Amino acid sequence: MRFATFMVFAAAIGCSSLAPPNEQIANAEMAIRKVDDSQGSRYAALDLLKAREKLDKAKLAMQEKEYTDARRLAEQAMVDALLAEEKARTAQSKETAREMARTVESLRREAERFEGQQGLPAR
Amino acid sequence: MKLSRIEDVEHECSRSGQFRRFGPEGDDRMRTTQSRRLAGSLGALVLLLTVGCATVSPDVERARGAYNEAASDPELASRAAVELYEAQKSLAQAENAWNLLRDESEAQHRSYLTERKIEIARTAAERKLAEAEIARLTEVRRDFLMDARTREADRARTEAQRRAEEAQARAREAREAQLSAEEALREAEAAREKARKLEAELAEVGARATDRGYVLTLGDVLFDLDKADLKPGALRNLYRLVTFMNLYPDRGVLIEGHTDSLGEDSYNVDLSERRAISMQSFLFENGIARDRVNSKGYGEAFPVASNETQSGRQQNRRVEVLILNPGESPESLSAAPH
Repeated sequence: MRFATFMVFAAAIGCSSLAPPNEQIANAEMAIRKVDDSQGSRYAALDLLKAREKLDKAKLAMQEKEYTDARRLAEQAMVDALLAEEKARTAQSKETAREMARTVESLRREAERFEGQQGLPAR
Repeated sequence: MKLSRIEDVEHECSRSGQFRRFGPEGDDRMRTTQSRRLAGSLGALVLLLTVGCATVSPDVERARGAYNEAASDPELASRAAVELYEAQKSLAQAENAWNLLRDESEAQHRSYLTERKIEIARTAAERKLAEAEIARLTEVRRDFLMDARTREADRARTEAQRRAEEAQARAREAREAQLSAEEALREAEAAREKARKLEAELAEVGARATDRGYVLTLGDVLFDLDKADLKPGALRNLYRLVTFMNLYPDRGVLIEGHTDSLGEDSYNVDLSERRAISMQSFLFENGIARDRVNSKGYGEAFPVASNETQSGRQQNRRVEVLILNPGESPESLSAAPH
């Protein structure tokens, strides 16, 4: 039983090194383009740069028919791009939250000023 | 399925760990050749198991540590459950690559992916916290804006109401001013009309204006010589007086009798009194209230002409009716101020 499982797992990884990882490279390219389009480079420049470098290396490895290396590099480029995207989204959300907090604060001051004029207790 | 496999491997490893720990003690206890041989083969087995199973990959260990730390943070686990699950799958692949395949490069690669996925999960948790904050602040802002709109509307409504009230007040004032001007005009006109009417009526009665007021002088034609009874022919003038007094119920009269100087003084006073009372009685008989009339006889004390001539004496024989202003009481004005 354990041996059978082992064989299946080994075959899975073993096979992946035999076939060219076209899908992984396409996925990484798509993820990088997505971050580029959403101005992610402003917030996660380093992660995006790492992703690009790895994608380039993956393509080189493909030319060398080093499919295992190519697959790993493409997968890492993909995860780096995903991290860059997540960082960019988070930075934008935080910025929006700060902006909202400022707006709400100024509204609160305005309301307190008004209630002060009315002689009512401030909220 | 995968997890149970990992547990199996770990179980194996912990057993081999026990072997390894007891190994040296066994060496100390057994010093016979046989036991040495046995110990030698045991040692080979221990070595095999230790190398084969108990060595650890620092990359996988680091990835597992990072995962356990992240998963034990309940805040992170709830906010980034999906991202954390991705990291968990990646960690399982890293462990399999090491434990089952001994593929160091693959284990290292999978560990890298795991750590990056954990970082993604941490960042996503921060993002979701920020998004929750945005949602909360949006609510707060909406409330404030709604309050502000309500305040603005209230202010506008109050202002409009105040203006409307002001306009109404101005209109009312203008109307009242116009009305009071008209009223004043009417009143002035009425007063003038009343004065004209009074004068006309007094003239009708035969009264004249003096510094004491309007005085109606009735000559001696009213009475026979030495008599106090009114002559029927004199009554026309007196009826006019009654009519006048009915028209002006707020006015009283003071009747004053006078004579010429012929005869005894006391007789003349008496005669003038009787004549005044006779006229008073006439007024009473014609329905004039008693408190509106008073009478007095002055005899010859207040002549209006010389008693030396016949015409002068005729002028002195007279009854004067002083028509009082409204509010003046006949009782309080009984002295003739000639």
